[in-house]
Amino acid sequence: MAPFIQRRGVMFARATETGLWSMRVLAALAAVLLATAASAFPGTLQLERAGLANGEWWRLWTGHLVHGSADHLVYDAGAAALLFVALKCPLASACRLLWMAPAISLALLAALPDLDHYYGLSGLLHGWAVAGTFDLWRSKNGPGAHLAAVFGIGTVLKAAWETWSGAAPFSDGLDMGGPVIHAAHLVGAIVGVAAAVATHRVRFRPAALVHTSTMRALGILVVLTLITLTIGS
Amino acid sequence: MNHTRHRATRHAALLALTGLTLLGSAFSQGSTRTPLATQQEDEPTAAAPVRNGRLDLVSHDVGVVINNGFATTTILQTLQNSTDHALEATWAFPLPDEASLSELTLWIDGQPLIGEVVEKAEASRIYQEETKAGESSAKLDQNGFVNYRITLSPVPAHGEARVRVVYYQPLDIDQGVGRYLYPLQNGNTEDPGGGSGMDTAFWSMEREVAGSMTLDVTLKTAFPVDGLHSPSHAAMSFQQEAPDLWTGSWSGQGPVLDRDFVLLYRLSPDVPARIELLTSRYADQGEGTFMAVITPGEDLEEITYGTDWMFVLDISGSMNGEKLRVLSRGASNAIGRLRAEDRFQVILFDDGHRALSRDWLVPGTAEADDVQRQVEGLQSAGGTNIFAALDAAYARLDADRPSAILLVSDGVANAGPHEYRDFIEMARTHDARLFTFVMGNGANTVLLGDLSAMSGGFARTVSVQDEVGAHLMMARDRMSHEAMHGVRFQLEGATVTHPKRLPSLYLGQQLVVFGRYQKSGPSTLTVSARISGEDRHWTVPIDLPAIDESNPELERLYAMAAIQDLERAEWLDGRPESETRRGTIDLALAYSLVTDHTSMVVVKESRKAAYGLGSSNRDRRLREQDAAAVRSTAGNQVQVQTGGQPLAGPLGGQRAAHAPQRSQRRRNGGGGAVGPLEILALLALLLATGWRRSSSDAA
Repeated sequence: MAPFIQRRGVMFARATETGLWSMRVLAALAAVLLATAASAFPGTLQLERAGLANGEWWRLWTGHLVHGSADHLVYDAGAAALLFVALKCPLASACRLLWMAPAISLALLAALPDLDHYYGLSGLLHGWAVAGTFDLWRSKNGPGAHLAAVFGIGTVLKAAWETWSGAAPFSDGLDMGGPVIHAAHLVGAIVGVAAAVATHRVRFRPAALVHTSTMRALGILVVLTLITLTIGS
Repeated sequence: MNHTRHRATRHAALLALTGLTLLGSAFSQGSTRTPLATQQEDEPTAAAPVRNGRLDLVSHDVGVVINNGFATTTILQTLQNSTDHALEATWAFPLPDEASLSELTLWIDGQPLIGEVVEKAEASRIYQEETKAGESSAKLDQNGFVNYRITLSPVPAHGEARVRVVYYQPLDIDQGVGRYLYPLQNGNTEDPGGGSGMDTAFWSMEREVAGSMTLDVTLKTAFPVDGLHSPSHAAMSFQQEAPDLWTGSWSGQGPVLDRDFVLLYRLSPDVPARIELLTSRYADQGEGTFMAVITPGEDLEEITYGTDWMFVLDISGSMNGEKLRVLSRGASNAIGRLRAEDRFQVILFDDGHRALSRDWLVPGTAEADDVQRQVEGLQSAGGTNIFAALDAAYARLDADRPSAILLVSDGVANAGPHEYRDFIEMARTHDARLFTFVMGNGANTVLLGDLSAMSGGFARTVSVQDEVGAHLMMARDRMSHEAMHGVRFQLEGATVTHPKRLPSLYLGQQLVVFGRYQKSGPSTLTVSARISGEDRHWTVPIDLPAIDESNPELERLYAMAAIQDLERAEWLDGRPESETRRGTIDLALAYSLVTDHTSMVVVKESRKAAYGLGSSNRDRRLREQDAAAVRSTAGNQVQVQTGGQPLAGPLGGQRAAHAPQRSQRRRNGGGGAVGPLEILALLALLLATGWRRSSSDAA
């Protein structure tokens, strides 16, 4: 347990944990609400090649929040909640999503020249799962760490197989308002590997991760703005 | 407004009950006769129904010209009085709900005289004064949504009277098939169960033509036609006169007025999706008029999950006979063609309603077969309580499944709540698509159309000569494919467009929009819609001409669309009836249209000045006739845009041709998804790593 809590006794520690969990629940609810609200405006928020060409760069982030149906949202939100609980240092880890989201969006558009639009959290979830399980493996915290590594590698292999076969037996049957873009999972997983590699030297502390993620997200934003201005002119 | 319509309907029904569909009144020279039923008590001799041998329909010639987006129907009738007295003739006839009646011509002293439009009361006054003065005169009134009525006098003893009626109607093409209907059989039905009427159609009473009836059809289209077919008049012969011109003709004698005329024409499968723009603008007009017919090329994806179908079938007394037989057969066919994943229920209604099963039925089961057999043996009785039946249907829907209600009826609601707002409120508070099928012209198709459009469904007027089962199955096609919702139409330079509220567009359907424009020259037309929650926009270049004298009829069609919007504004938005009435009268007088508040009256040219009648309708008609003559010899004047992203690909209805496009589209957009497998794997990860550790790490 962290020294901060030890100094203030068990009762305070419990209270603090309760408070943390309350905050997490609230954060999770806020995220679901955000995704629900985003799903109401797919035309404005989903990832769209034509929209990006018009300078609507926010789609790089917001496209991951848009969902095509209630089922789609429930499954993605459920997976996100489980990842949040299972991963080491989830809040800090989640901060990486700030730059992973646009990276996945851009990689997806680059990898699939015919793709006009994309929506959904699952690509990002695959990336988060791979990067997060790498963190767990790095922590070398008992047998769970090894299983996490297996999970991370399994996620990459699963995504690769889905892309190769063009089918995802369990998720293809979902009503998600459109066809499943299997390659998005693989792109997400690859970006997750890149995120893990890029941050493996970063000291594993929330502040460091937050700082690194924020700075990289700002950097991407500046580059995108410059690209947009160049195209626009 | 609605009250007014109902009063008008009941009034017409009262006329019918007294056998005055075709009313002849003794009309001796110099004396005044009172032809209307309400006056017959004063002059009993006037009330005697006219039978064949006294006032006969000698000829009934119908000419139909379909020129791209609209049809012009010309009806020429000759009545013969075989009695020793002059007679007054009154008869009613139905017209399609979107028809704009533009001409009533009466031959007086061998000269054709075109009627002029004035307010309804004024028309009655003029007609009465003319008949009192012993002059020849005729009047044409609209009787709500039920029918139109012509009154003329005199038909001289042992003489003839000749009239011509012309109306225009926009036509659209559904899934590559165009359909034209000339209603004869099902006119102005009132529900006897409601205690007020019988079939008052002239042709239904008088099924025979003493001479002959002819039907001549001319079809001129900018796109190749695969073939024409008349399911009602199979003997009609068709000829292809030119690559873009087809003609057809039919003639018959005797009892030929008991069948609607239905014409179907099918465009070639490779006809592209497109926007057709017809315009009209004369040098003396500040604004031009346009009609845009949009056939989207967007490939609407097939939806594979099952649908719940609620059949709500009218078995009221007015459905008795051929209508009920056709309904039974059509509904049974439709049930037989449901998919295995669908479910259905059947509710029958008259004064009351009853369901044929306690719960949803799966096609192919013994219980479903039993209900299908019951549908095949329907019996009619009672009035028409549409509201209660629809209410019961909505109540039985399963909120967890996509649902559709198929309402088939032939009459207005005359039992239970029947105010427009009652229905609108009911549709607003339920989530199911409503598809309405009106058999004949006896129902408020505007109300049913609005109800259906509000729910994302559609309304159709069907004839007993139609294949009703096929119409019902069109609803299935609608439910089995994505639809374009929230359709918006924007034409740069347009000052006004109608209808204001555009309906949802389904697979293979067209969107017809009327409007006015001021600025001529290059313009841009944008259509926006939402498909499966995704916003789409299509933009194409359009040229708005400074002068176009080829389609003056568009002005009347535009005005009729504007009048229908006025009525909707009253019904839906609570606009005062007086404003609707004033707006309707203004438009009707400006464009010479017969409406609920305006009528057309024919008097001799020499008598026009006495009533302040001008010649605006005559001038308008001459202009329209000139344009039609030019069109019949010149090439098509329709402006067609087929290029560009939105219009690429064949018609939406050509699904086979679309299959490759669908697979292409699967790569063009979609989403990522995690499923139960991923969730289970995450749960395993969570159990293996322990959620408590993660929480402490986070701290």
